[in-house]
Amino acid sequence: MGTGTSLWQTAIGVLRPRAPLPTAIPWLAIAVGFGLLLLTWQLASNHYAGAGRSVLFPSPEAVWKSAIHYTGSSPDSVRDRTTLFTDLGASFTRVALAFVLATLVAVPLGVLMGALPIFEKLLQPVSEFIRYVPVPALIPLLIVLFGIGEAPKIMLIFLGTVFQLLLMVSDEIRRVPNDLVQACYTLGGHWDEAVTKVLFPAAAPGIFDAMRLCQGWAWTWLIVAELVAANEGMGFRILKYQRFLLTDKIFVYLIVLGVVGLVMDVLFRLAHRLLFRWQ
Amino acid sequence: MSFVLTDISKTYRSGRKTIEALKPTSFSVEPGEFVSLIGPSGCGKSTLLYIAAGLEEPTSGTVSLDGRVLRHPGRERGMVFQNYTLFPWLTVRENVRFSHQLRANIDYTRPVGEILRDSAYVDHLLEIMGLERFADSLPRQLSGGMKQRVAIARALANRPRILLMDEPFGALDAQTREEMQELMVLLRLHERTTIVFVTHDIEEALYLSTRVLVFSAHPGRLIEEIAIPFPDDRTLDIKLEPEFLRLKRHLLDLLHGGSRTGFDRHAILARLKGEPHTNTANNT
Ligand SMILES: Nc1ncnc2c1ncn2[C@@H]1O[C@H](COP(=O)(O)OP(=O)(O)OP(=O)(O)O)[C@@H](O)[C@H]1O
Ligand SMILES: [Mg+2]
Repeated sequence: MGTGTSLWQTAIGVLRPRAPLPTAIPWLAIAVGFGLLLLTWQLASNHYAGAGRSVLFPSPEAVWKSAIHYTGSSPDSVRDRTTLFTDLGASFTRVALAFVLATLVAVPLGVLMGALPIFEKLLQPVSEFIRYVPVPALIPLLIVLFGIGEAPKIMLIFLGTVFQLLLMVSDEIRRVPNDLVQACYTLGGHWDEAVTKVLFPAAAPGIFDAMRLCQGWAWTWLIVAELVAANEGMGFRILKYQRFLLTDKIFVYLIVLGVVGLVMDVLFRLAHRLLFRWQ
Repeated sequence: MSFVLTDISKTYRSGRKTIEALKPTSFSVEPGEFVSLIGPSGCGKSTLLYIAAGLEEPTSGTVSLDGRVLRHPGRERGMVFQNYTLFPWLTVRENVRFSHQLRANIDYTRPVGEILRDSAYVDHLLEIMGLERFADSLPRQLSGGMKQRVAIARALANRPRILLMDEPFGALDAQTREEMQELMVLLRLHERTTIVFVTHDIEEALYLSTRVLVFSAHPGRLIEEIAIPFPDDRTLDIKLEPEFLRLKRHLLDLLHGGSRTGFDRHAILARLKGEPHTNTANNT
């Protein structure tokens, strides 16, 4: 038996559906994934550089330099860094406000929708309909109604997430086994106790997961909102840098957005694990 | 006169089709009795029990307790389900004391002493069920038998007048099942619980009951009522007594003598031997 055979066996073993992976393999696969991304990026930028237009598509190296620039202490660096943090702060505030608003509306209504058939009939078809109205198509209307301040942006994110969340919450409630509700009734529980003491706690982990997904979508709607009209914010700055062809900075912003999304996701997952130890 | 079911029938309607699950059935249960409902699969045992619990509406008939007609589920009828229906986010103790924090069971005029007795009763139940060591465990950390013991304790904690059990040990392995049966005998002896018990296990019904009600196959119909002559204080040994075996044979004949649900031993044997065979199983 040479190492050739065992390597071959490992390769075959890894391709078995749902096979558990040997220790080092997952990290290796993650590294290869990012490596491929970098490689594609490099090749694409080479293509533009070959045509003498490297400014249109910066190389990974150029973006790395730009990122380093953001950490420097020259007046230029400090100014750009301040801009970045102001943008991030403004964007985060919008997402947070809209998300909290959407949660406050969607969770109680979704619970009622999932628990009481009358609320389901009342709200479900309407929500399904509105959900398929493309939210960006509402932007002109929102600007007419709310002007160009914070309100239309928060409304856009709110509208983009609230119906999705509503439907997911009601689904989670409906998924709770009927046995649990019946057990509650035979112990003397009233209908409101079936909701507050059984349906909601049973569905809570699923609802929390739906909230995690929704905060991800909120960032997408945020960028759409800020591309239209804003004085600061991640989306606004990206549009502005486009006008000055500062593509390396655009990339830095994109990476920051990606990292923020990832961090939020991880935080939600951590909170999930702490809140719902019983799972 | 205690727990009385009068002319209970159930017909399910789905679209244009109607399924008659249960023909009009009447019986009553006196305090301290252990009544088993036994019958082939699909004969409407669960349906009847869910109607008794108020969880399902009968097509006709009434359920009453001491002359009072009951139309909704309530604390006077506890229920143990076939599947483990513990609240998975609560610990064992929290599951058992679940009913004590429901509005219907809180009497604000009660003296504090009685409230303390409630919590002492929870401890007592955990103890007799052998669950003290697991009081702070979560349901997912328990075995099937333990889960079902918690479910029984949870129903008893509410001090129901009558305990309804739908094949509570159906999902357990043979040994755990027998342990649970012994536990039921002891529970009845000491807690004086009135029980209606659904099973399709003949031995289980005979070992546990003071009375067995036998149902025919689909649509369900009460075909025989058998009083079980063994003392309340029984052990597993009675399963070997001649009287037990005689009753067992009688029930076997009742349940399997007629048409079993499409199972025809001779037809299958013939097919296995490759003999040509005319279908004799169509004698519904
Ligand atoms: N919701 C329902 N809709 C339509 N038919 C139903 C419904 N519930 C039960 N039935 C039918 O009623 C009959 C009796 O069902 P039930 O569950 O009461 O039987 P069972 O005696 O408890 O059987 P098992 O021993 O398998 O649990 C079955 O034929 C079943 O198909
Ligand atoms: Mg059943």
